[in-house]
Amino acid sequence: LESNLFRYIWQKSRAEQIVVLLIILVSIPFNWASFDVPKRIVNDAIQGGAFRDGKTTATLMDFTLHLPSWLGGASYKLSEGFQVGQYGLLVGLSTYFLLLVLINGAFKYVINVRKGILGERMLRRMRYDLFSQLMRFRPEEIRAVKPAEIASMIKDEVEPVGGFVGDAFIQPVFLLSQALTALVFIMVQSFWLGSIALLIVLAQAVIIPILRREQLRLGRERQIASRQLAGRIGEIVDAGPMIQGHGATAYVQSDIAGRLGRLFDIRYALYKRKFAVKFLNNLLAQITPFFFYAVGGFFALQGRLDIGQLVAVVAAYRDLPPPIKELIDWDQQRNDVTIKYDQVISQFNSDETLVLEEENGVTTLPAKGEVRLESVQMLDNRGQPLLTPLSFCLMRPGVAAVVGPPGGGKDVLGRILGRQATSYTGRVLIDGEPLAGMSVERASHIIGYSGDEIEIIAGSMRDNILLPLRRRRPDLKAGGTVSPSEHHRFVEAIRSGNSPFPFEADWTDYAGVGVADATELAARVHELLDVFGCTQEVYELGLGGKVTRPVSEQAIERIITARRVVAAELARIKQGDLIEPFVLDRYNRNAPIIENLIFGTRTTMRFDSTTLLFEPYAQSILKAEALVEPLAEMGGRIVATVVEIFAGLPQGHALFERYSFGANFEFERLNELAALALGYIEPKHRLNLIDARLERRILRARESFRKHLPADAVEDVDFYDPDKVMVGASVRDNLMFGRIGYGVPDAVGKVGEIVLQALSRSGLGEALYRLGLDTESGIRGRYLPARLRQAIPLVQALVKAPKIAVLDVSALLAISDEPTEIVARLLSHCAGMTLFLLVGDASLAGEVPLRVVFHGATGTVEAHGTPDAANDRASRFENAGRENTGRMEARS
Amino acid sequence: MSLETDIGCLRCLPLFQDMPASRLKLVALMGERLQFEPGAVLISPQEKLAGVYVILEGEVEISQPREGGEERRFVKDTGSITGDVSLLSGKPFSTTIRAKSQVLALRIPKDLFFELLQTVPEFSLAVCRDLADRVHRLASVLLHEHEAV
Repeated sequence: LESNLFRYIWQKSRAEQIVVLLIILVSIPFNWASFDVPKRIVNDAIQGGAFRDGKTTATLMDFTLHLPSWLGGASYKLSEGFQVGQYGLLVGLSTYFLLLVLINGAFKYVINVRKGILGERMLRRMRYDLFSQLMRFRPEEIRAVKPAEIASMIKDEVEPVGGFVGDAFIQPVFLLSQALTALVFIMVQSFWLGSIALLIVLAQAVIIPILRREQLRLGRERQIASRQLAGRIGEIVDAGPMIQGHGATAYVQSDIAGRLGRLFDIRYALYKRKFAVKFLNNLLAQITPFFFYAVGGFFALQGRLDIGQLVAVVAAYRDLPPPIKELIDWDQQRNDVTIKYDQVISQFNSDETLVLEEENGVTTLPAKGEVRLESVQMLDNRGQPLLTPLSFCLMRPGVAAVVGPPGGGKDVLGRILGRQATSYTGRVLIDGEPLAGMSVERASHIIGYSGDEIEIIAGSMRDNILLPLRRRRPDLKAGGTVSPSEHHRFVEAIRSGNSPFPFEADWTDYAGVGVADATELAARVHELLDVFGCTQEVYELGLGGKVTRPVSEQAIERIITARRVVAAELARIKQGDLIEPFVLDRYNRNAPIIENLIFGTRTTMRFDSTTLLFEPYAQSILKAEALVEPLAEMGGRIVATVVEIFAGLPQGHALFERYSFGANFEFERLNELAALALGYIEPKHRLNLIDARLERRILRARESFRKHLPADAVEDVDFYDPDKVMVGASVRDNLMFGRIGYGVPDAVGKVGEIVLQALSRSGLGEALYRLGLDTESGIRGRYLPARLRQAIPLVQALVKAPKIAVLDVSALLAISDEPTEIVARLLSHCAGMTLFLLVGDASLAGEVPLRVVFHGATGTVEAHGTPDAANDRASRFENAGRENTGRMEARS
Repeated sequence: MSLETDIGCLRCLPLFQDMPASRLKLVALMGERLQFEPGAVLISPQEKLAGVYVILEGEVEISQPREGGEERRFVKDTGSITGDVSLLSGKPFSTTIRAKSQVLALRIPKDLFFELLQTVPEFSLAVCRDLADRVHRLASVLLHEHEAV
């Protein structure tokens, strides 16, 4: 990145700056004319200056081209003009003035817009450049930066720089010319007075910057302090729940208060300085007329200066301070912005950056080769070994197991091989080519790494899994016609030096990973999920996924079919009581009262059980069926029972939670009593509160609720209908179309199985799987089940079909039911690759001939039955390594 | 079948006879009331137990395969608690428990079982008594066998 702001601006926006400058130059004559015309209106038209000496007409719009004297001084009359009277002249000149005002306005508009766009483009470029630079950092450096600080730099700190860009060159040129004109004019009237004005301007130019020096230092401090504040807040937010948990909130609050205080102090000092400078500035500007009156008056009395000249000088001086003041403001802004820029740039200028892209495309490795480590060693920042010197050689394709407890050398070696750590000594050679020298792009094609830290970014699970394949630059020429908006986007991106490739395009590199199209890729993902034993979970996620509008005709048909298959299956295995279906004229005992009442999916909060009694329509229905009283009474009895059985147990006890009615207890109000009753399910809560009569009344209320539903509530309820999809409900609910019966052993499990079978039989399995992959993963995958969260990085590493896979499977195996099977499937899947299998437990590594076993930071290479020289090579390097450590110890 | 009948059933069990009514209600309410057809398996061997069963009605049969294809069978009747030993010791269940007749059982899920043990002293005392009773019976059986040999 360019370290000088002005050079950066000039390099990147030269053409545009010159265009704006030219427009300003062109505008000057018009501006001058607009000053000149009022004089003519007053002198010639109103005071009749043009009609002296008995003239009755004046000439308007005569154009004469005068050649300068050094070209012969000839003049050509282009237009004779026409003769007008005094009124005609007034109207003509006023119209001319109006025209000039419009032209000047238009110029001002064009110049401002251009300057603004210039600034915005520059800002966009700068932010993009900074971000790109960040992507070039070494992985450790990216880890070391505080996200909030970087975000504040890219987002906020460069913002004023963008605003300044339009003025950077144009403003000083413009203002200097104005100020110089006024100064020259004064000089011409009186050398002495001119000298006084010049002296004071020079004094301003010398003193003010000196005073500003402190101001600048404070500005720099303020920027750093506020950035650190952003970083600290980001950190605290990340650890927020932990801080709450430990009750350290007051402590961190005082930390923030201290930082805010420091920021306040800086700003306070800054204000004092700023206004002191302003005061001095104003004083100097206003003291000049004093000299003019005193000295100029003295000269006038002596007769060395006439009164007219003195008045003209004082008048001209009125035009001098504003440009000077603006110039000083510009200088202030320049300083400010330069500091901000330097500050930001210094954060982004790393000594060692990585080469991101391969210039001539990525060449793949040959099928056979070797991976060799030559006394690879890594120390932490205190000089303690993270990995003691290690050497071994693995023929490609081949498998090596790296065994060790978490947090030891196993993780470090994984990071080195996965190119997540680069600050090691020694060499990692892949077919003789050092790993450290590879470009990011080439390394990412060759190596698939999944380590001990889970990185899942927000977005669907599919987006996450396919992220490693988003590496093919989209074809910009494809598609023939380009829409105007797309064209505009492209041109603007190029002008600002940004990436012109549209984010929405298909970036997937099918050919590079050896698949023909999206279908084959989907098959590979499916296969990988099978390898890690996670397919079932994806289906489950799909079952839990909500059916949302719009639902395609085909999907509706499939869901309805599958729903029938489920019902048929239940009938076939004579497990009809597993699910109690929704039937319009039957009370569903396994569903809460509210569901029986409304008999539909509530798509909004309008008919929520806690507020149902306040909803006018629902209330009128309940009143009409005289249900309010009984519900309140039920609620009362529930409360009485709950109070009885929980008496003597601490409040908020877990047992209490278990017996929930889907509403919080606050026993005071009728509404809450009714809300409790609305969540009541007879077979679950078993208080014997619902009899046949009440059921009938609820059914009647259901009917009238359905019949009289007001038009504005149509969007709030989606009534159950065996031939309709329940929008807003999960796929599982849609397929069951009923409630799981209480009192049947292991009902949930059995229903799950039946539903899955029904789905695959009705051809919905694939759709369900896709729906599962569409599940939102959340930050760091917090919405995903634990096993999938562990499996996704592994799938990511393998989906790109790398030549070398470095997979830490220890966390997944620890929570898996079938660890040995997973390892076996993984080994067979990776048959053509070189696999570094990182496991915690040596017994899980299977029949792997080469093992690196770690105790702390030290690894021992164990080769079983390998006929090649790997073993003794390894031991030889190891000895060398030992000597190395010995020497190191001696030195320290 | 309502709560009242369940409580009535529970009260008849020696296990719960000393428990106050409100606590009995708690146990009855918190448990899952499950119906098993004759022949249905309640617990299969090597299963990770999800809870303990209190047999409210009907008989269950405990069978344990032995060498030579024989099976040893016991019949346990109403009122016994099953699965507590396995849950408390953390060892997998070693036998099959099958419904011999229509069985109505109250399943107390594992976490609830431990919660009850920890927070309801009457319940833990009842479980202890039941265990102690069984240990006593086991000891006397062993003693008799020893004498017989």
